Amino acid sequence: MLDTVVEKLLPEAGQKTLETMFFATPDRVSMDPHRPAGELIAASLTFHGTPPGRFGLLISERLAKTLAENFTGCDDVAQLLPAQVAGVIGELANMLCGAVLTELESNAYFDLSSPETLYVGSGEPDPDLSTGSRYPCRFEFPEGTLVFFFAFEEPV
Amino acid sequence: MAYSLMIVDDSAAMRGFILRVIELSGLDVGTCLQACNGQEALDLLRSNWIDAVLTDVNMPVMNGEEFVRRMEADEVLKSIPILVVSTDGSDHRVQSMLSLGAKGYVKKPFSPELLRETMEQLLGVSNA
Repeated sequence: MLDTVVEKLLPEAGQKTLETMFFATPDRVSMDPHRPAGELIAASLTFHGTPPGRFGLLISERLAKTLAENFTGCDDVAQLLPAQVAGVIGELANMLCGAVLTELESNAYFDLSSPETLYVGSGEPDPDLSTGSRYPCRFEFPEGTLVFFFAFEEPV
Repeated sequence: MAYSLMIVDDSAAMRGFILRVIELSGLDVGTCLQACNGQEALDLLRSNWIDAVLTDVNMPVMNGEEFVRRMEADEVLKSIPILVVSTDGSDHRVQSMLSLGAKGYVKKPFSPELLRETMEQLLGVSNA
């Protein structure tokens, strides 16, 4: 029952965040946890709440630039520095995680760590974000793919 | 009348987003100071008058809860209205921040329209 709640919450919270703050709507939503193709940005954070756990995401670099362009209002994505794009993706991780936890833990406090971001080349191993995660969520866009993972340290 | 605002958030991207939304809303912003945590914000507030503060909750060095608490404890700063803008939308957190003295709470993600309406209420601005 709670698994069903979480599995329903992830795409809902994800779509709301992407549409409201990043002005982007995915073409397709699934639970496919596989790494997106090509060069990526990875973001992760931990949360301390009831229950505690980890959140991570992998996003195609091209999609990340598009979302950063939308978020910052920059007309020319070439003007955005890699650090700026990474900062926007860190904030995306922060908001995705917070949006889900707010719904799951509305009667409890939770604290999020500052997100950590990392550029990952197409041939490089990605951070082990999916380990222990029972809750992946995947959004497909024309520019690329976003996959995010929740791993709770205790049963939800 | 041009308003002086302060945005407190450890994310430079989010500070920029909030500022852009406020400016695009038509609110007359004369000065907008930015700080990446509560301590930096308090240091700036010692020498700058601000009409309203928008603050996150989860920040390093000094979080939003302690920041609001310190502002309310200061005879001068306590008159500055505070709007919390945070990913933490749990009932406990919202009630806690409002009871500490924050005048409003906007949960992330938020629409530009919601932020604008809340700012107008906070500042007593009417666009009728």
